Amino acid sequence: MKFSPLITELVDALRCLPGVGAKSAQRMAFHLLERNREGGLRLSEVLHDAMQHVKHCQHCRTFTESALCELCANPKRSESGQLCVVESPQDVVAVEQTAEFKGRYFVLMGHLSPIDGIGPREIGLDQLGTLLDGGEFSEVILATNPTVEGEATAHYINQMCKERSIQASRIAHGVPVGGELEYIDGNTLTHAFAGRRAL
Amino acid sequence: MQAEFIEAYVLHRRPYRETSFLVDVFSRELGKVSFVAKGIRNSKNDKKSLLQPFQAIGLSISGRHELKNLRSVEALSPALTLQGQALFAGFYLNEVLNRALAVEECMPDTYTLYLNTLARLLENAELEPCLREFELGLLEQLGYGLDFSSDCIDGDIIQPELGYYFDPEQGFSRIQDAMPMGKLVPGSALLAIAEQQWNSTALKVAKYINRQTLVLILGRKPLKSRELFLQLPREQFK
Repeated sequence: MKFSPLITELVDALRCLPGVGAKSAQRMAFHLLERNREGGLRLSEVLHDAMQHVKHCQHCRTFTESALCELCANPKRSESGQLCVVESPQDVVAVEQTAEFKGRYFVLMGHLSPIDGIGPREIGLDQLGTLLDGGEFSEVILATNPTVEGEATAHYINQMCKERSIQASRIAHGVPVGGELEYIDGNTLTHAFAGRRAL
Repeated sequence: MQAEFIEAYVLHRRPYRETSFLVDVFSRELGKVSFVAKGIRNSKNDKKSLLQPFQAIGLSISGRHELKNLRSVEALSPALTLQGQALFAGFYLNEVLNRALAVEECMPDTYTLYLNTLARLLENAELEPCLREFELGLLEQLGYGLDFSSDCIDGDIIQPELGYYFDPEQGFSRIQDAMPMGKLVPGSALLAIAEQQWNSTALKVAKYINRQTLVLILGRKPLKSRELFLQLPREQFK
Protein backbone atom coordinates (compact mmCIF):
# COMPACT_ATOMS: atom_id res chain seq x y z
CA MET A 1 0.00 0.00 0.00
CA LYS A 2 1.17 3.52 -0.71
CA PHE A 3 0.57 6.50 1.55
CA SER A 4 -0.59 9.87 0.34
CA PRO A 5 2.25 12.04 -1.02
CA LEU A 6 2.48 14.23 2.08
CA ILE A 7 2.77 11.28 4.47
CA THR A 8 5.36 9.63 2.24
CA GLU A 9 7.35 12.83 2.30
CA LEU A 10 7.11 13.05 6.09
CA VAL A 11 8.32 9.48 6.50
CA ASP A 12 11.20 10.13 4.11
CA ALA A 13 12.16 13.32 5.92
CA LEU A 14 12.24 11.59 9.30
CA ARG A 15 14.74 9.11 7.96
CA CYS A 16 17.43 11.79 8.01
CA LEU A 17 17.67 11.26 11.78
CA PRO A 18 20.50 8.97 12.89
CA GLY A 19 19.42 5.42 13.69
CA VAL A 20 16.01 5.88 12.06
CA GLY A 21 15.18 3.53 9.24
CA ALA A 22 12.03 3.10 7.15
CA LYS A 23 10.07 1.30 9.85
CA SER A 24 10.87 3.66 12.73
CA ALA A 25 10.24 6.69 10.53
CA GLN A 26 6.81 5.33 9.69
CA ARG A 27 6.03 4.69 13.34
CA MET A 28 7.09 8.22 14.27
CA ALA A 29 5.04 9.80 11.52
CA PHE A 30 1.88 7.92 12.51
CA HIS A 31 2.41 8.54 16.19
CA LEU A 32 2.58 12.29 15.60
CA LEU A 33 -0.41 12.27 13.27
CA GLU A 34 -2.59 10.10 15.49
CA ARG A 35 -1.70 11.10 19.00
CA ASN A 36 0.46 14.14 19.22
CA ARG A 37 -0.31 16.81 16.65
CA GLU A 38 0.66 19.53 19.09
CA GLY A 39 4.03 17.97 19.77
CA GLY A 40 4.56 17.56 16.03
CA LEU A 41 3.81 21.21 15.37
CA ARG A 42 6.12 22.31 18.14
CA LEU A 43 8.84 20.05 16.78
CA SER A 44 8.48 21.54 13.33
CA GLU A 45 8.69 25.10 14.64
CA VAL A 46 11.66 24.51 16.93
CA LEU A 47 13.43 22.46 14.32
CA HIS A 48 12.95 25.22 11.78
CA ASP A 49 14.19 27.93 14.17
CA ALA A 50 17.17 25.91 15.29
CA MET A 51 18.21 25.03 11.74
CA GLN A 52 17.90 28.66 10.73
CA HIS A 53 19.60 30.35 13.65
CA VAL A 54 22.04 28.05 15.39
CA LYS A 55 25.59 28.69 14.23
CA HIS A 56 29.09 28.41 15.64
CA CYS A 57 30.31 30.52 18.57
CA GLN A 58 32.86 33.03 17.26
CA HIS A 59 35.35 32.12 19.95
CA CYS A 60 35.00 28.43 20.71
CA ARG A 61 33.11 27.07 17.68
CA THR A 62 30.47 25.27 19.73
CA PHE A 63 26.85 25.54 18.63
CA THR A 64 24.93 28.62 19.73
CA GLU A 65 22.33 31.01 18.36
CA SER A 66 24.11 34.11 19.66
CA ALA A 67 27.46 35.45 18.50
CA LEU A 68 29.21 34.14 21.63
CA CYS A 69 28.12 31.10 23.60
CA GLU A 70 27.22 31.41 27.27
CA LEU A 71 30.60 30.17 28.44
CA CYS A 72 32.65 32.48 26.23
CA ALA A 73 30.45 35.46 27.12
CA ASN A 74 31.00 34.90 30.85
CA PRO A 75 34.01 37.06 31.90
CA LYS A 76 34.67 34.86 34.95
CA ARG A 77 35.60 31.95 32.70
CA SER A 78 38.48 33.90 31.18
CA GLU A 79 40.07 34.68 34.56
CA SER A 80 41.91 31.39 34.93
CA GLY A 81 43.67 31.77 31.58
CA GLN A 82 42.98 28.11 30.81
CA LEU A 83 41.66 26.84 27.51
CA CYS A 84 40.33 23.31 27.16
CA VAL A 85 40.39 21.86 23.64
CA VAL A 86 37.75 19.18 23.01
CA GLU A 87 36.47 17.36 19.95
CA SER A 88 32.71 17.89 20.22
CA PRO A 89 30.03 19.99 21.97
CA GLN A 90 29.03 16.83 23.88
CA ASP A 91 32.54 16.78 25.36
CA VAL A 92 32.01 20.33 26.66
CA VAL A 93 28.87 19.12 28.45
CA ALA A 94 30.76 16.15 29.90
CA VAL A 95 33.57 18.35 31.25
CA GLU A 96 31.11 20.95 32.52
CA GLN A 97 29.27 18.30 34.52
CA THR A 98 32.38 17.66 36.56
CA ALA A 99 32.34 21.34 37.65
CA GLU A 100 36.12 20.93 37.92
CA PHE A 101 37.18 23.15 35.08
CA LYS A 102 36.66 26.91 35.27
CA GLY A 103 38.28 28.11 32.07
CA ARG A 104 37.13 28.44 28.47
CA TYR A 105 36.71 25.86 25.74
CA PHE A 106 37.61 25.40 22.13
CA VAL A 107 35.53 22.88 20.20
CA LEU A 108 37.24 21.33 17.18
CA MET A 109 34.11 19.61 15.82
CA GLY A 110 36.19 16.57 14.91
CA HIS A 111 39.81 15.46 14.92
CA LEU A 112 42.67 15.36 12.45
CA SER A 113 42.06 12.48 10.08
CA PRO A 114 43.81 13.07 6.78
CA ILE A 115 42.46 9.89 5.25
CA ASP A 116 38.92 11.31 5.67
CA GLY A 117 40.07 14.62 4.21
CA ILE A 118 40.12 16.34 7.59
CA GLY A 119 43.23 18.45 7.98
CA PRO A 120 44.15 21.30 10.35
CA ARG A 121 41.98 23.85 8.58
CA GLU A 122 38.83 21.71 8.67
CA ILE A 123 38.90 21.54 12.47
CA GLY A 124 39.44 25.28 12.84
CA LEU A 125 43.06 25.22 13.95
CA ASP A 126 43.73 28.50 12.12
CA GLN A 127 41.00 30.01 14.30
CA LEU A 128 42.56 28.44 17.40
CA GLY A 129 45.88 29.97 16.32
CA THR A 130 44.37 33.46 16.24
CA LEU A 131 42.76 32.84 19.63
CA LEU A 132 46.11 31.81 21.11
CA ASP A 133 47.82 34.81 19.49
CA GLY A 134 45.42 37.01 21.45
CA GLY A 135 47.52 36.30 24.55
CA GLU A 136 44.52 35.59 26.79
CA PHE A 137 45.58 32.08 27.69
CA SER A 138 48.47 30.78 29.75
CA GLU A 139 47.61 27.08 29.59
CA VAL A 140 45.97 24.87 26.98
CA ILE A 141 44.47 21.60 28.20
CA LEU A 142 44.24 19.05 25.41
CA ALA A 143 41.16 16.92 26.05
CA THR A 144 40.86 15.22 22.68
CA ASN A 145 39.79 11.57 22.69
CA PRO A 146 42.39 8.90 23.49
CA THR A 147 42.37 7.54 19.94
CA VAL A 148 45.27 7.62 17.51
CA GLU A 149 43.64 10.56 15.71
CA GLY A 150 42.99 12.36 18.99
CA GLU A 151 46.66 11.97 19.93
CA ALA A 152 47.75 13.35 16.58
CA THR A 153 45.44 16.33 17.04
CA ALA A 154 46.82 16.93 20.53
CA HIS A 155 50.38 16.77 19.22
CA TYR A 156 49.64 19.23 16.45
CA ILE A 157 48.07 21.73 18.85
CA ASN A 158 50.94 21.18 21.27
CA GLN A 159 53.30 22.37 18.56
CA MET A 160 51.15 25.43 17.90
CA CYS A 161 51.38 26.20 21.64
CA LYS A 162 55.15 25.72 21.70
CA GLU A 163 55.60 28.22 18.88
CA ARG A 164 53.74 30.74 21.02
CA SER A 165 55.39 29.70 24.32
CA ILE A 166 52.08 28.66 25.87
CA GLN A 167 52.06 25.71 28.23
CA ALA A 168 50.10 22.74 26.91
CA SER A 169 49.00 19.74 28.93
CA ARG A 170 47.28 16.51 27.97
CA ILE A 171 44.54 14.93 30.09
CA ALA A 172 45.58 11.68 31.78
CA HIS A 173 44.23 8.37 30.53
CA GLY A 174 44.03 5.18 32.47
CA VAL A 175 41.88 3.05 34.70
CA PRO A 176 38.27 4.22 35.19
CA VAL A 177 37.26 5.00 38.77
CA GLY A 178 35.46 2.04 40.34
CA GLY A 179 36.76 -0.32 37.67
CA GLU A 180 38.72 -3.51 38.15
CA LEU A 181 42.18 -3.96 36.71
CA GLU A 182 41.35 -7.52 35.72
CA TYR A 183 38.81 -6.36 33.14
CA ILE A 184 40.74 -3.49 31.63
CA ASP A 185 42.12 -3.86 28.13
CA GLY A 186 45.87 -4.04 27.67
CA ASN A 187 46.32 -0.74 25.84
CA THR A 188 44.54 1.25 28.55
CA LEU A 189 46.56 -0.47 31.23
CA THR A 190 49.80 0.28 29.36
CA HIS A 191 48.80 3.96 29.29
CA ALA A 192 47.94 3.86 32.96
CA PHE A 193 51.40 2.53 33.78
CA ALA A 194 53.20 4.92 31.47
CA GLY A 195 51.33 7.85 33.04
CA ARG A 196 51.78 6.79 36.69
CA ARG A 197 52.38 9.46 39.30
CA ALA A 198 54.69 9.62 42.28
CA LEU A 199 52.74 9.71 45.53
CA MET B 1 30.92 -19.60 5.32
CA GLN B 2 34.28 -20.43 6.82
CA ALA B 3 35.99 -17.70 8.78
CA GLU B 4 39.44 -16.61 7.67
CA PHE B 5 42.22 -15.75 10.07
CA ILE B 6 44.47 -12.91 9.05
CA GLU B 7 47.21 -10.78 10.52
CA ALA B 8 46.69 -7.11 9.81
CA TYR B 9 47.08 -3.43 10.59
CA VAL B 10 44.17 -0.97 10.48
CA LEU B 11 44.57 1.63 7.75
CA HIS B 12 41.34 3.46 8.40
CA ARG B 13 38.14 3.13 10.37
CA ARG B 14 35.01 5.20 10.27
CA PRO B 15 31.82 5.13 12.33
CA TYR B 16 28.98 3.12 10.89
CA ARG B 17 25.45 3.23 12.32
CA GLU B 18 25.12 3.58 16.07
CA THR B 19 27.70 1.19 17.45
CA SER B 20 29.72 -0.15 14.53
CA PHE B 21 32.79 0.69 12.52
CA LEU B 22 33.66 0.21 8.88
CA VAL B 23 37.31 -0.77 8.89
CA ASP B 24 39.94 -1.00 6.14
CA VAL B 25 42.91 -3.13 7.09
CA PHE B 26 46.12 -4.13 5.33
CA SER B 27 46.69 -7.82 5.95
CA ARG B 28 49.58 -10.14 5.27
CA GLU B 29 47.34 -12.84 3.79
CA LEU B 30 44.73 -10.94 1.78
CA GLY B 31 46.17 -7.48 1.19
CA LYS B 32 43.66 -4.70 1.74
CA VAL B 33 40.34 -5.90 3.16
CA SER B 34 37.28 -4.00 4.40
CA PHE B 35 34.87 -5.26 7.02
CA VAL B 36 32.06 -4.21 9.35
CA ALA B 37 32.91 -4.42 13.04
CA LYS B 38 29.51 -4.71 14.68
CA GLY B 39 28.94 -3.38 18.17
CA ILE B 40 32.56 -2.35 18.65
CA ARG B 41 31.72 1.29 19.39
CA ASN B 42 29.44 0.22 22.21
CA SER B 43 30.60 1.78 25.48
CA LYS B 44 30.99 -1.65 27.12
CA ASN B 45 33.12 -3.11 24.37
CA ASP B 46 36.82 -3.16 25.14
CA LYS B 47 37.93 -4.07 21.60
CA LYS B 48 37.76 -0.42 20.53
CA SER B 49 41.39 0.21 21.32
CA LEU B 50 42.45 -2.74 19.15
CA LEU B 51 40.82 -1.52 15.96
CA GLN B 52 43.12 1.46 15.65
CA PRO B 53 46.01 2.24 13.34
CA PHE B 54 49.52 1.00 14.23
CA GLN B 55 48.32 -1.98 16.26
CA ALA B 56 49.12 -5.50 15.04
CA ILE B 57 45.90 -7.49 15.22
CA GLY B 58 44.80 -11.02 14.50
CA LEU B 59 41.38 -11.03 12.85
CA SER B 60 38.84 -13.61 12.02
CA ILE B 61 36.56 -12.41 9.26
CA SER B 62 33.85 -14.04 7.20
CA GLY B 63 31.74 -13.25 4.16
CA ARG B 64 31.86 -13.78 0.43
CA HIS B 65 31.47 -10.18 -0.65
CA GLU B 66 33.93 -7.32 -0.71
CA LEU B 67 32.70 -6.07 2.66
CA LYS B 68 33.34 -8.79 5.26
CA ASN B 69 32.07 -9.25 8.78
CA LEU B 70 34.34 -9.22 11.77
CA ARG B 71 34.04 -12.29 13.97
CA SER B 72 36.83 -11.72 16.45
CA VAL B 73 39.87 -9.55 16.97
CA GLU B 74 42.87 -9.92 19.25
CA ALA B 75 46.09 -8.00 19.79
CA LEU B 76 49.22 -9.66 18.44
CA SER B 77 51.63 -7.25 20.08
CA PRO B 78 51.40 -3.99 22.03
CA ALA B 79 50.32 -0.96 19.98
CA LEU B 80 53.16 0.95 18.32
CA THR B 81 53.15 4.26 20.13
CA LEU B 82 54.30 6.58 17.38
CA GLN B 83 54.93 10.06 18.72
CA GLY B 84 54.81 13.46 17.15
CA GLN B 85 56.14 13.75 13.62
CA ALA B 86 56.50 9.98 13.36
CA LEU B 87 52.76 9.68 14.01
CA PHE B 88 52.04 12.08 11.15
CA ALA B 89 54.38 10.07 8.95
CA GLY B 90 52.39 6.96 9.96
CA PHE B 91 49.18 8.67 8.86
CA TYR B 92 50.86 9.44 5.57
CA LEU B 93 51.79 5.77 5.04
CA ASN B 94 48.21 4.73 5.79
CA GLU B 95 46.72 7.29 3.44
CA VAL B 96 49.04 6.31 0.60
CA LEU B 97 48.40 2.58 1.13
CA ASN B 98 44.66 3.00 1.49
CA ARG B 99 44.54 4.73 -1.87
CA ALA B 100 47.17 2.71 -3.69
CA LEU B 101 46.24 -0.87 -2.76
CA ALA B 102 43.67 -2.85 -4.67
CA VAL B 103 41.08 -4.72 -2.61
CA GLU B 104 42.01 -8.31 -1.75
CA GLU B 105 45.21 -8.40 -3.68
CA CYS B 106 47.84 -10.14 -1.63
CA MET B 107 50.98 -7.98 -1.34
CA PRO B 108 53.30 -9.74 1.11
CA ASP B 109 56.37 -7.67 0.17
CA THR B 110 54.51 -4.41 0.64
CA TYR B 111 53.26 -5.70 3.98
CA THR B 112 56.83 -6.36 5.11
CA LEU B 113 57.89 -2.97 3.77
CA TYR B 114 55.10 -1.32 5.79
CA LEU B 115 56.09 -3.16 8.97
CA ASN B 116 59.75 -2.25 8.53
CA THR B 117 58.92 1.39 7.89
CA LEU B 118 56.70 1.53 10.99
CA ALA B 119 59.49 -0.06 13.03
CA ARG B 120 61.92 2.59 11.80
CA LEU B 121 59.46 5.38 12.60
CA LEU B 122 59.06 3.95 16.08
CA GLU B 123 62.82 4.20 16.62
CA ASN B 124 62.60 7.86 15.64
CA ALA B 125 64.69 7.33 12.53
CA GLU B 126 65.01 10.37 10.29
CA LEU B 127 61.64 10.81 8.62
CA GLU B 128 62.56 11.84 5.10
CA PRO B 129 64.80 8.88 4.12
CA CYS B 130 62.29 6.55 5.77
CA LEU B 131 59.37 7.90 3.74
CA ARG B 132 61.33 8.15 0.47
CA GLU B 133 62.49 4.53 0.75
CA PHE B 134 58.93 3.45 1.52
CA GLU B 135 57.62 5.30 -1.54
CA LEU B 136 60.35 3.87 -3.77
CA GLY B 137 59.65 0.36 -2.49
CA LEU B 138 55.91 0.72 -2.93
CA LEU B 139 56.26 2.10 -6.46
CA GLU B 140 58.59 -0.76 -7.36
CA GLN B 141 56.15 -3.35 -6.00
CA LEU B 142 53.19 -1.79 -7.77
CA GLY B 143 55.09 -1.97 -11.04
CA TYR B 144 55.98 1.71 -11.32
CA GLY B 145 59.62 1.35 -10.35
CA LEU B 146 62.10 3.54 -12.22
CA ASP B 147 65.65 2.77 -13.27
CA PHE B 148 67.82 5.35 -11.52
CA SER B 149 71.07 4.18 -13.02
CA SER B 150 70.55 4.24 -16.79
CA ASP B 151 69.07 6.49 -19.47
CA CYS B 152 65.62 5.16 -20.35
CA ILE B 153 65.99 5.87 -24.06
CA ASP B 154 69.54 5.09 -25.11
CA GLY B 155 70.38 2.87 -22.10
CA ASP B 156 73.59 4.75 -21.27
CA ILE B 157 74.72 4.78 -17.67
CA ILE B 158 73.63 7.94 -15.80
CA GLN B 159 76.53 10.39 -15.49
CA PRO B 160 76.78 12.30 -12.18
CA GLU B 161 77.78 15.59 -13.80
CA LEU B 162 74.91 15.72 -16.31
CA GLY B 163 71.30 16.85 -15.98
CA TYR B 164 68.42 14.58 -16.99
CA TYR B 165 64.79 15.07 -18.00
CA PHE B 166 62.24 13.09 -16.00
CA ASP B 167 59.01 11.45 -17.11
CA PRO B 168 57.13 9.42 -14.46
CA GLU B 169 56.08 6.82 -17.02
CA GLN B 170 59.46 6.38 -18.72
CA GLY B 171 62.35 7.36 -16.51
CA PHE B 172 65.30 9.64 -17.06
CA SER B 173 66.85 10.74 -20.30
CA ARG B 174 69.22 13.28 -21.83
CA ILE B 175 66.89 13.80 -24.77
CA GLN B 176 64.37 16.52 -24.22
CA ASP B 177 62.01 15.78 -27.12
CA ALA B 178 60.70 12.59 -25.61
CA MET B 179 60.03 14.20 -22.22
CA PRO B 180 57.00 16.35 -21.56
CA MET B 181 58.39 17.71 -18.30
CA GLY B 182 60.90 20.49 -18.67
CA LYS B 183 62.68 20.12 -15.34
CA LEU B 184 66.24 18.85 -15.21
CA VAL B 185 67.35 16.58 -12.38
CA PRO B 186 71.05 16.17 -11.60
CA GLY B 187 72.57 12.77 -12.43
CA SER B 188 74.50 12.75 -9.16
CA ALA B 189 71.21 12.84 -7.22
CA LEU B 190 69.79 9.97 -9.30
CA LEU B 191 72.83 7.84 -8.57
CA ALA B 192 72.59 8.70 -4.89
CA ILE B 193 68.93 7.61 -4.88
CA ALA B 194 69.84 4.35 -6.63
CA GLU B 195 72.36 3.68 -3.85
CA GLN B 196 70.02 5.08 -1.19
CA GLN B 197 72.78 7.43 -0.11
CA TRP B 198 70.65 10.23 1.22
CA ASN B 199 71.92 13.77 1.07
CA SER B 200 69.74 16.87 0.96
CA THR B 201 69.68 17.10 -2.87
CA ALA B 202 68.93 13.38 -3.24
CA LEU B 203 66.06 13.68 -0.75
CA LYS B 204 64.63 16.68 -2.54
CA VAL B 205 64.88 15.05 -5.96
CA ALA B 206 63.46 11.76 -4.66
CA LYS B 207 60.53 13.64 -3.13
CA TYR B 208 59.83 15.36 -6.44
CA ILE B 209 60.15 12.14 -8.46
CA ASN B 210 58.04 10.05 -6.08
CA ARG B 211 55.36 12.68 -5.92
CA GLN B 212 55.08 12.80 -9.72
CA THR B 213 55.04 9.01 -9.99
CA LEU B 214 52.51 8.51 -7.17
CA VAL B 215 50.10 10.71 -9.14
CA LEU B 216 49.93 7.88 -11.71
CA ILE B 217 48.55 5.58 -9.01
CA LEU B 218 46.68 7.88 -6.67
CA GLY B 219 45.36 10.42 -9.12
CA ARG B 220 45.55 14.18 -8.89
CA LYS B 221 43.66 14.55 -5.61
CA PRO B 222 46.31 15.74 -3.15
CA LEU B 223 47.21 13.68 -0.08
CA LYS B 224 45.75 15.33 2.97
CA SER B 225 48.41 14.05 5.39
CA ARG B 226 50.95 16.35 3.75
CA GLU B 227 49.12 19.30 5.29
CA LEU B 228 50.13 18.07 8.74
CA PHE B 229 53.76 18.73 7.89
CA LEU B 230 53.37 22.09 6.21
CA GLN B 231 53.43 24.54 9.08
CA LEU B 232 55.61 22.55 11.41
CA PRO B 233 59.07 23.63 12.46
CA ARG B 234 61.80 21.90 10.54
CA GLU B 235 63.89 20.84 13.53
CA GLN B 236 63.49 17.17 12.58
CA PHE B 237 65.21 17.61 9.25
CA LYS B 238 68.32 19.51 10.33
